This record gives sequence, C-alpha cells and structure tokens, in this order.
Amino acid sequence: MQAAMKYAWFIIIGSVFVNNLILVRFLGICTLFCPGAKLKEFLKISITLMAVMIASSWLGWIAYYGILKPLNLIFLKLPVFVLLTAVLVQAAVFFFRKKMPGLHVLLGGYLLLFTAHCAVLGIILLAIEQNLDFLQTTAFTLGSGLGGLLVMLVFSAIRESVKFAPVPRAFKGYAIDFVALSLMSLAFLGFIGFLGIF
Amino acid sequence: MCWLLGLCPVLAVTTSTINSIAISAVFFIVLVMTKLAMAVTRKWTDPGAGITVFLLLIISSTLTATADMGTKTFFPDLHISLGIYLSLIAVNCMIISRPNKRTITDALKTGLGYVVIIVIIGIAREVLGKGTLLGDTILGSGFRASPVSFFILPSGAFLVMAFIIAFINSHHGQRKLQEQNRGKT
Repeated sequence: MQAAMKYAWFIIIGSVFVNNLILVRFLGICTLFCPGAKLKEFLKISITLMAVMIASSWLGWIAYYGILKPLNLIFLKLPVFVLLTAVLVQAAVFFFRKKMPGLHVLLGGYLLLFTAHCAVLGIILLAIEQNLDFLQTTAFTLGSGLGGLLVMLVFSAIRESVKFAPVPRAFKGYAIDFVALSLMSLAFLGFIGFLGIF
Repeated sequence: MCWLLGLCPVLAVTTSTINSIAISAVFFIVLVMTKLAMAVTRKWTDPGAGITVFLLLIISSTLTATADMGTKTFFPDLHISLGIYLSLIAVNCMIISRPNKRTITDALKTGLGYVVIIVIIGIAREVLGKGTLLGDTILGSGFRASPVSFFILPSGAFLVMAFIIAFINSHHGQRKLQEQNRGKT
C-alpha cells in the first residue's frame, strides 16, 4: 500500500512538471486563448477542467475495464469515452441549473466548454494506453489538472505584463503568446530527470 | 484574421513531414464527412438543441475510430508515431464548434487551410530539426549530423507557430494599410 502511494506521488509530480499537460502534451491549448480571459477566469476554467477530467477519467476507466474489455469491445472505446464525457457534462449543467444556481452562474459557462475537449479525452486515452490502475489513473489526472492550472496561471501573468511591452507590430496578439509559450516550454524542459522521472 | 481552433494535432505530431501529411489527410476526410452528415440531417435537427451536439459527437467519433483502425491495419508505423493524437481528431474544435455552418464549401475551405498550415509546420520542423525532407538529406550532411534539434522539441513547435501567425498578421496588416491609404487619397 505504501509503495503504491509513493508511486502515485511520483506520478503526480511527474505529470505536473515533467510531462506537463499543456507544454509537453499540447492538450487543451485552445483553452489558453479564450478571448479576454484574465487570472480569475483562468483559475475558474482550470478548476472546472480538473473536476471534469477526474470525473470522466473515473467513468472512462470503469467503462473500459468493467464493460469494454471483458466483452472484447475495445474498438468502441473512442465513441464511448466521448459520449460519456458529453453526457456527464450536460447532466452536470442540468443539475446545477436546477439545484445549485449559484454554482451554475459561477462555472456553468465554462463547464459547457468541456463537453468535447481534447484534454479530457486525451487524459483517459493516455491512462488506458499506459495500463494504469484506478489509484494511478486518479493521481495521473490530478497531476495533469494541477499542471494545467500552473501553466494557465503563469501564462495569464505573462500576458498581463506583455501588454506593456514594446512588441513588433506583426507579433502583437496571438504570435507573442506563442513565443511566451515556447520559452515556458523550454524552461519546463529543465525538469526532465527531476527526482529520476522522465 | 486567423482563428486558433484545434491546435493539438498541429503542434504535437508535426515533427516530420510524413506525420503531418498523414494527420492532415485523416483530419480532412473526417471533417468533410462529418459536415456532409450534418448537412444531410439539417432538416431534422436545429442548431440550438442539445441533441445536435450529441449527433455531431457520435458521427465524428465513429468516423475517427474507423480511421484509427484503418491506419492501424494499413500503416502500423504511422499509427505508433501519431499515437493518441489521431483519436483526438474526434473532439477537434474545428469539427465540434461552429455547428451552424453546415455547408460542404465551408468544410472544404477551412479544411484546406488547416492542411496547408500543418504541412508547412511539418516541413519547417523536419528541415530545421533533423536536416531532412521526407527522409532525404537536404541541407548537407554536416547539418544533418548536428541539426537544430530545438525544433523537434515542443518549444520549437510553439516558435514555428508564432512565426506563422506573425507572417499572416503582417500580410493582413499591409493589406489594411493599403486600404487605409486608398481611403485617404
């Protein structure tokens, strides 16, 4: 049990720093370019993303190992994962609208963004591909969500300060954002080999 | 004006030209066929309803799963190097968002633009990062021996993308300036 917990910690740290969700795996980059999003919005977006990712990876893991694999229906995994996430998100939006209007106003709009999202689907597929068990899948998803949170916060801070920088005319807007992402990715490259994780 | 939709495959698998050609071909086929199916069912579904999203997701994910199995059978090497990004075409923002635009011409236009950008990024990253083009040495054996491997890394993908957006921006900026001058005189 202790060894399993230790391994889970390694997975979390590895997926936050070494195999970052956004900078190394390129999942969920579209979310970074939400028009007009600032620090507060990014915080809400990434927390919603983390919640959706964890819930849908649990559902996906149970569906894969409980239904698809015993019945030898592995070729159906992609439609099943996509539809599970979509149904989950739509049901959550419906539930929040009826029962928790406060939470619906706060997060509802962002929740709909993740009906079909590359990060949510990509995490389930990666967890299945690496043959992770339930605890490891949870750790992997949590770590990836935290990695996304970290990058989104740093990125929004960089974006705020780029506003006051003398940027060449052609590079204004999205182009300088990509240069910033490139430099951030280069900086995160320094974490390779951190605690012996590759 | 450029839109940034569906970036995951653009940046992730464009480390070589052949990969980018393969993923853009699969993407183009899935995009056009999804739009075709949505155009056929336009009579029975209205764009505001939630059921349209589910229909769209079912169509695109089934098509992508088929393409995934086809690639696995006929091009096993490509299937390994494309990895999960081939499956991620099913939820690509280009296919999922904008359900109101259900014409084939729109799909062909956006799809072709996307393919061109992906192939340009693939060529740039392979030539600079490996010194080869489709496997042939192109910039001399000295460059091949010690290429700028920065461009194969994830950060290289972001930088190439930044320069492409800057190029498009400057092109549009010049055109806007010309229009303004024309307005003055």
